[in-house]
Amino acid sequence: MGRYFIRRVLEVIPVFFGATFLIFAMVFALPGDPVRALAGEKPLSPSVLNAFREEYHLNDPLIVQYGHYIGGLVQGDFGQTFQGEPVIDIMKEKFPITAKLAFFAFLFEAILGILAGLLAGLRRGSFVDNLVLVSTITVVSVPVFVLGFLAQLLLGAQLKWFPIAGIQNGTKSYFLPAMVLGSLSLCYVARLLRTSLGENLRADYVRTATAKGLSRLRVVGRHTLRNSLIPVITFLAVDLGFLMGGAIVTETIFNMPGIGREVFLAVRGQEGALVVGIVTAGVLIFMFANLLVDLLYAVLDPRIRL
Amino acid sequence: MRRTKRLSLLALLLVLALVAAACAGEDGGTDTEQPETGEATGGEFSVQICEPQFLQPGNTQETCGSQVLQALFDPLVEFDPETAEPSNDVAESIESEDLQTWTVTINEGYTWHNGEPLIAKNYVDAWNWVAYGPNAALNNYFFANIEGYDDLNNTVDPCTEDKSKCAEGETPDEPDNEDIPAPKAETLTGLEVVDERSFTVTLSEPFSQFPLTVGYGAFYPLPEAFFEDPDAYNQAPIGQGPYEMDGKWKHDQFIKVKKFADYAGDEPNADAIEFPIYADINTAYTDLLAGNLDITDTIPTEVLAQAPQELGEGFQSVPSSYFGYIGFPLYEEPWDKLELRQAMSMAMDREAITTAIFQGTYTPAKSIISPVVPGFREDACGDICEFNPEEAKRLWDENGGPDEITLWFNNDGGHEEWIEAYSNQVRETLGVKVKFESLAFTEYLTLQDGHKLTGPYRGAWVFDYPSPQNYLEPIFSCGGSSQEFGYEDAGCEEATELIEEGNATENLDDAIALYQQAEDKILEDLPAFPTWFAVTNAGHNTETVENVVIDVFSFVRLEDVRVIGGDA
Repeated sequence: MGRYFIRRVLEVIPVFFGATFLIFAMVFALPGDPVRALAGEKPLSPSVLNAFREEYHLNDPLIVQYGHYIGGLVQGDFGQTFQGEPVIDIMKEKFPITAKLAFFAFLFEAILGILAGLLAGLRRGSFVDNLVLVSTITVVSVPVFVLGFLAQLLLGAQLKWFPIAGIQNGTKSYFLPAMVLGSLSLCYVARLLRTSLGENLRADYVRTATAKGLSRLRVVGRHTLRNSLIPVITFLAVDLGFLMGGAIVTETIFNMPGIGREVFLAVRGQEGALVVGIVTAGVLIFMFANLLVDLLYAVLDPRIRL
Repeated sequence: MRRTKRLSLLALLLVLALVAAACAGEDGGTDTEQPETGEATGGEFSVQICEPQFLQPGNTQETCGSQVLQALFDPLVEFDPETAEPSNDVAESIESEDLQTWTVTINEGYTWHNGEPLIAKNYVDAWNWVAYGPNAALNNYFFANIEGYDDLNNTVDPCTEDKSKCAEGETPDEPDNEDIPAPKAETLTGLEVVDERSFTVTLSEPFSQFPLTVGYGAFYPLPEAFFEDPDAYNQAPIGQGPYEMDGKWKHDQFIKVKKFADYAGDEPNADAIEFPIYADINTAYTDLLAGNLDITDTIPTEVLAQAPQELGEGFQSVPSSYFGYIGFPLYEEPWDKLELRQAMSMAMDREAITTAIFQGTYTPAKSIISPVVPGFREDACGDICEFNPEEAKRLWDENGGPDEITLWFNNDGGHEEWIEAYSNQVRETLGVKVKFESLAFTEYLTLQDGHKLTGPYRGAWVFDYPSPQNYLEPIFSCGGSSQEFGYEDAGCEEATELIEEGNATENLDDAIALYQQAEDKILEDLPAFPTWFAVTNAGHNTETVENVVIDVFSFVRLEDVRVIGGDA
């Protein structure tokens, strides 16, 4: 277990360099001049163009630019945007917002998803099962921006239960976007658990447990559910990684100043340092989330050894 | 068994409740639209903006940052919101005898938000800073006509920049930053402080429109505090205008300003303004309908049809300075042929596009000089800008028009719809195949600057100051800062001379006559043809604010807005 853990952590190092370089190269390869785009349709003096290029080493070849970047990084400098804002400040400001949004979305999808999956899986063919089936299909097939606008109009503008946009109303502001963001995964969780439960309920050991005269609660709770949750946990962990990476559409619609929107704008503006910083952080989060899941497997299923 | 049954009942109830709530929401919508009482304390209102690039005069050139700076700064010259008629604001007078050396005198009593008095030196220092190349200020080019500008801006050899600009036999050097020497001077020779309240500006050439240009945001002054730390200043700018910052700029969230007690000008109506930052104008619109936002100056095209009904009196459509055009790469065959360019213009049914796509809010353009500035003529272009399919087809065929053309545009500005409509018109009228090159804005601009486009392309211009000159010189003159058509090869000299003559003419009517001649000449050469003049579609909540005036710059006149129920 200890060795496994250390090996997995060490794997992060090559991934870190690989990811930063790849992303850096991709931003570098984008066509167009980011400095020129700053001025939009207005003209830009050649001297200003030069001053910008010099300051951000834009005239240098890729490898030199990457060297500058990594050089700064080992000194704890994540670089700055063309507006002169340190990248680290932006990440510090934006990641908590995305994390909070991800947290609520995760809670929403995990709790309701497992509940719905449990109900549907235990009573196959019943009304509840069909209800879960139909409603999840509906949600999966509707694009997220439609869900977002609908939620804004109904729950925000008309009923006024939740604020529509921004984060100025504290935790309350996160509920509506978290619901929209989590709704898709909620459906997956519910259906995944339903299927997995269905299979396990027919397994021999469950029959044995029932034959032993254990209560239904114990059979389901202790013997079936724990096993059935393994695929669900895998999915949830990967999903948490995705959620932490930010949700461009949801963050834009609900005006949440999170990391997803930031990285989208950064790519569009070809803000190399910002893109690399955010994406690399995302990669690291993803890797740790996966590691956590692998450790969790062992807890859920004693047969799995690490 | 029992437990699951109970749980399923619970879930069912929950779903039912949600559905019921959703339904109730739909028919109960109109009565719940009451203004939030907590909002109207002491006259505060909110105006939608997007995330500004910068909040400092030297660097702010997009509309969102400019709107905020208008609250924080007071310009030397201001313009009437409807007629764009200029009048002195901070300036007491701006005078010149030869149109080349101008003396600017500022009014007494102005102070910065930090308490320091506003002095002439603040203007001179600010302008020098922006004009100094290595400071990399986006508004740098505004000072290009002040004497000594070149000494502050060293440039690389154009050949190194772009191979197509090399002289014959010359090989481009590898770009190398070390080769660019530091500029010769740090201050403009054309700027001189006379005393506390006045300074002189010497231009490199006579320019009658100079007093108009200083109304633009690039010409705001800067306080001492700016030079100590420009980046810190950017987060909470200190101005000399009616409002001061209330806290720092909360990126991607909001900017708040409050009334500045020692403001020397007329007192503004509201006590405070909040600028919530929206990433998506659709969200802002929903927030406006829900009563969480008071004013927006952009209404999404998608909801334009229903907006007048949803907003009632709160919907406004105001002429803006936006001038749209289709430009030609004159450096590329066959677009060097005038007749083909004329055919492309005659193939466009402007009325059809403005009606169908812009809901009739845009005006078809038949001139370059916009209706919002003096010197506008409705039909300067004549037959060339009329939809005339037969003539277009004749011109096209007689002059060997190609079978296939490529239209270029940027794909991040909502241009797809009308470009497609226009391409259909071209296809039907001229019987040619139309291909698209739809690019990200960054790439689009770079190719445009580098003369790499191979077909007609979309362009637009928004004025910096309300002068007919601003529609001509930057976009169409020989060395124009935004002239990317390759007009040099197609006789830009004549139009340029007329513009320069206009610049050197003191009498406004005479100057306008010359600008109009230049306009005629440009339309004759047709390096680009006009498409339409746009409007600003704005909306406000009639229950919370009134007297919302949108000026020709598409800005909300912040100081005029009255909060209903506020104590102002």
